[in-house]
Amino acid sequence: MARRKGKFIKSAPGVSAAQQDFHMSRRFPGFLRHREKKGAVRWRGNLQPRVTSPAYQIDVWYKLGQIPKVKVVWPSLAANAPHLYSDGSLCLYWPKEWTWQDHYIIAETIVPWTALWLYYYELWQDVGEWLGPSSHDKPSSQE
Amino acid sequence: MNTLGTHFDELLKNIRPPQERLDAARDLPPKVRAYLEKHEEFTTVHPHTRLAGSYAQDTPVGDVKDVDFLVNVPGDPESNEPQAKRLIQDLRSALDGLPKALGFDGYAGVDIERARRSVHVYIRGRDFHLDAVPCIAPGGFEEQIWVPDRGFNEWIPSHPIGYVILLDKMNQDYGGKVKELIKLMKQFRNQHMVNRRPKSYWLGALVVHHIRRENGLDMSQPLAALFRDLLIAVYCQYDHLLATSSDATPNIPDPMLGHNISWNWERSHFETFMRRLDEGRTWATNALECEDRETAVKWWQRIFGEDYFPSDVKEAAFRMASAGKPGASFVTGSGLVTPVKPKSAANTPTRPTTFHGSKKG
Repeated sequence: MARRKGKFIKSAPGVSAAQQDFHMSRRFPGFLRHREKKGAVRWRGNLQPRVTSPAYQIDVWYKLGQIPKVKVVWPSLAANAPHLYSDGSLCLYWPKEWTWQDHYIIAETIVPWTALWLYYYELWQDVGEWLGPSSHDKPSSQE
Repeated sequence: MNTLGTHFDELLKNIRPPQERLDAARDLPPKVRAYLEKHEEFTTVHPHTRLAGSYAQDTPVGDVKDVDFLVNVPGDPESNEPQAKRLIQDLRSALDGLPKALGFDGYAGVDIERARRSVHVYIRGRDFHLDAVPCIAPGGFEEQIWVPDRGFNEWIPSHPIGYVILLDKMNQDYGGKVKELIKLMKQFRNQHMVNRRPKSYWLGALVVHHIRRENGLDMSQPLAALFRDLLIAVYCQYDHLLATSSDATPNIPDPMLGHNISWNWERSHFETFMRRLDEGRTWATNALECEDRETAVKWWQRIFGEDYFPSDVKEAAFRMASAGKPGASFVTGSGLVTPVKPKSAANTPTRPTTFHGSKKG
C-alpha cells in the first residue's frame, strides 16, 4: 500500500463545506451530507460507472484545510486491488502532477475521478491489468 | 464474486438486432404514417401512428424481424363502432399497397396475414414484417387505448405506450439495469426454449413485478447477480403451482392494467419454463460463486450461448479504457462514465488525472 504523500497547499480562499455541498447536490444529487466532528463533512452516495456495475456506496470525507478522502463502503474491494492508500482510501491523483487546494470543487474533481477509478477497477478485475493512467507507468513514479 | 462486467457488456452488444433492423424500426413508422394519412379510403386521426413493441421499448434481442406500430382510428369502443372485425379487414385492404409505396420495388410479393389484433405485412425478399395494430386512442397514445379483438369482435383496453414510458422511467431510476435485465431474460429464453417460448411481454412483466414488489430485487447489485436473483425469484414465485396442481398456470399481471396476461399459457409450456429456470438459477449461482474467471465464463456461456457470451474480453477492455480516458470522458449524476456528453442527464466533464498508490494486483 502507498502512503499518502499529498501536501495541502493554501492559496485562494477556500470553498466552505456548505458551498461544496451545493455543488455536490447539483452534480451528484444522490450524495447526502452528514456532519462529522470538528467541522468535518462526510458525503455518502452511490456511483455506478457502467450499466453492468453494482451501485458502489461511496464515502467522501472532507475538512477545510485537509485533503479529501474517498472510500468504497460497499461492495468490498478485492484485497489485492491496486491504486489504494494504506488506509484503504482511493489514490485518485498523483501528487507530483496535481495537488489538492481548498478552492477546488470536490464534485468537479474528486467524485468524477472516483467514478473513473471504479470504471478502471472493474476492467482490472476482468483482465487483470490496470488500463487507466497510472503513475507506475511513468519514469519518476518512485519519488 | 465473478461479476464479469466487460463480458456482460459484450454479451449485450452481441444480442442486439442487426443495424439494418434498428434502422428500419427508426425509419419506417414516419413513412407508414405518411402513407396512411394520404390514403383515401382508410381514415386515421391524429397522432395517426406510433412505433410500439420491443423496438419502442428498446428491448429487442436477436434478429427481431417484426416492427410493431399502432394506427389510430376514429371510433367509439363501447358501442363497437367501427366493428372491430370489420376495421381489421379495412386496414388490411389499406395496407395492401404499403410495400410498393415504401419503395420496395423488385421484391416478389406481399403477404398479408390477419392476426388476432393486428394486420401483418410481410415484405417478401427482405424477410421483414410490419405488424399494424389498429386502435382507438381518445386521449392519445400515452393514455389507455382500445385495440380490436377479432375473435370476439370487440374493443379491449390496452396500454402499450404507458408500458414503454414505465420502462423508461424505471430504467432511469435503476441505472439502466431494467431494460438490460429484460434483454437477458429474452436471451435466456431464446437459448433454452425453442418451441415452448413464453412471450416477451410476459418476461418483461415478470421483471417489472419483481422490481416493484415489496422486498423485490436489490437493484444495487451488479447485473450478473441481479439476473441470478431474478431467476430464483420467479422460480420461487411459481414453484407451488407445480407441487399443488396438475393443471394450474401462473397469472402474470399486466404491468399497466393489472389483468392476467398469461391466460393462454399451456401447462406443459409452463412446466418447461420452470425446468429451464431451475437449471438457469443453478448455473448462474455456480458462475457467481466459482473461484476462477474461466470457469465462471463457461457457466455463463451455458446460460446465454457460446456465440454470445465471450471468452476473451481483452480487446473490448482496451476499447473501454480508451473510451473512459480522464479529460475526455463524462460522468453522469449516478456515476455512469460515458465517452460522449450525454444529451439528457446532468453530467460532469472529467479532468485529466493519473492514478497513484499501491501497485498490487
